[in-house]
Amino acid sequence: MTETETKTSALLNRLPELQDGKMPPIDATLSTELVQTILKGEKDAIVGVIDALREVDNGSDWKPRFLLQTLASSVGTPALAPQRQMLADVMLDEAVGTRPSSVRTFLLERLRLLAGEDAVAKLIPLLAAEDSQLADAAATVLVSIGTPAKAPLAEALKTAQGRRKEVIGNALAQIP
Amino acid sequence: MPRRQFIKAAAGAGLFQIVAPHVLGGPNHTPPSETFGAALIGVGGRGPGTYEDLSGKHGLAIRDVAKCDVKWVGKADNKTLYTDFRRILERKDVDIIAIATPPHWHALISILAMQAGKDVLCEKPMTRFVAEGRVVAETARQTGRIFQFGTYGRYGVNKEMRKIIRAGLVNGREVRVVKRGDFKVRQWSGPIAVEPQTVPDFLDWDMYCGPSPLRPFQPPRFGGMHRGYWDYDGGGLGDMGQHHLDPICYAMGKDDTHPVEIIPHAPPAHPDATGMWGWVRMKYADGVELVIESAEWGEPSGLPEKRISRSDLNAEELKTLDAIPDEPELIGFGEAVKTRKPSGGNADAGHHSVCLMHLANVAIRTGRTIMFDPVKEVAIGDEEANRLIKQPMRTPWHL
Repeated sequence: MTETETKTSALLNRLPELQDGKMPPIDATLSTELVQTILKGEKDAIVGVIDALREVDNGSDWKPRFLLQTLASSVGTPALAPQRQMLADVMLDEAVGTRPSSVRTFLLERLRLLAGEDAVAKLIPLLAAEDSQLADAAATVLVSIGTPAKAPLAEALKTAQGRRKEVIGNALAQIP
Repeated sequence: MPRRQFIKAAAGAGLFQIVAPHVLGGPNHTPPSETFGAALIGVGGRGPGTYEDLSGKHGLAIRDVAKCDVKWVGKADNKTLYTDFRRILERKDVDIIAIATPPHWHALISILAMQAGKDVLCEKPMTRFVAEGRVVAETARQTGRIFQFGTYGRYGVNKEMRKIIRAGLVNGREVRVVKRGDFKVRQWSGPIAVEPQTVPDFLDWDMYCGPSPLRPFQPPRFGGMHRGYWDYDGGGLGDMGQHHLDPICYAMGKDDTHPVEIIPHAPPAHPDATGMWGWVRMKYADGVELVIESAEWGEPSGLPEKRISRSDLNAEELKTLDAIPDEPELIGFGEAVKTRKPSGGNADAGHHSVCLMHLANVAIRTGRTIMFDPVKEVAIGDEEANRLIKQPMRTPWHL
């Protein structure tokens, strides 16, 4: 195991196990401590948690999924804007990278809560993804970004065909 | 003769503007019982009961026209049984739609049905997220269709407190309603350890997911336990919330506004599955407060209920109160359909009561207090919360 894997594993092991296949209530103090540890570790620590995601969502990787969600929620206040930007940048880089589609889709769904205008350019090409779930997830991030995504989407629509055209059109229909 | 045909014939004969149809006798007059073509969308779970309510609880004379369910692949004949609700909405012989799908479909089907000229009886919860309800309410207003959400507790509410609060007579007093328990929180917490499976042959899974993400098929997501996933519902709060909170919202006189501060006490939330929560405080601009408690996790809020009644008012306040005429009684869906007056459980009222549960869930999911603008219907200074308040839909669906 690398040092990052060891550290990530130590964090994940502090979370309790599932109860009857469901997530047990997580102590808020523990959750806050884990989030702050990850944020202090910055990009390496966040990527370490992402590395723990599995391709099939069957509960076996619920801990990193939970932590990534909690990270996204934790940085949602204006006071934590630098941390929010850092997390969004890391998630975006990993979402447009070479990980399995299902992992990238999961990251995009977290990114939807965080992403700003600067993410638009990297998201547009994902609308052409062969995996429709990945393309749909990218579209939802763009819709949530809103107005800054409108012109790039309209530009992409000019040359789009087939499902990509549908997805872009549907995204534009949801941005006032 | 069905009601719609009569109105068209009477209008053509120049009679409609002269006398009300029910006054006429002889040929071409409205029969004492009007019949309405009815269709049910979503046949599982509550479906049959919701449909029976049309003729039972609501006293409408209906003609069974069609039913729709996504689990009828191979069985649908596209004459009386469908898997695609849009084909039912195209039919001219359908006047009323009863909707009993999972909640993630409620708003869209309601909107499209009203735009297609149908009246709507829609199961609770009326919507899945805040922004949907505003569009449903606006659609009802613009189309003039009758909309009723499928819970009726408000019809039996004592209106004394409502009148006092709506008269602006709280005057700094502590007024708090506490609803504790019966939210089925643990029961509808979503299972996570579930292996994806092949989609059953009888199921149109893409249509089932609809505006929500197309996930690998996992049996709990379909049928009953769908309540345990944010994609389709809001957990026990989604299932039971509007039942409990609509009558309270009405009794508090708050079915035309929203709370301005929502304070949660809950453990951190899972990204996909609903889970436990303790309590949520919801404060209105005039200080009136609603507290919901799960009684299934954590310490209780310890906040006492304190309702306001005539006995709390001074002489001058009583004089002010008694000078205000009482509101008319709420009318039921059946009467609303026949008279074209808004039902007591109309879309605007339902939007405000269902938003109580949505805002509570937003606070639970973000893990923090939400400050809410009740007019603009947005969270103040919280972009993440706003991205839960208004959520994108999957192609080809949108509000």
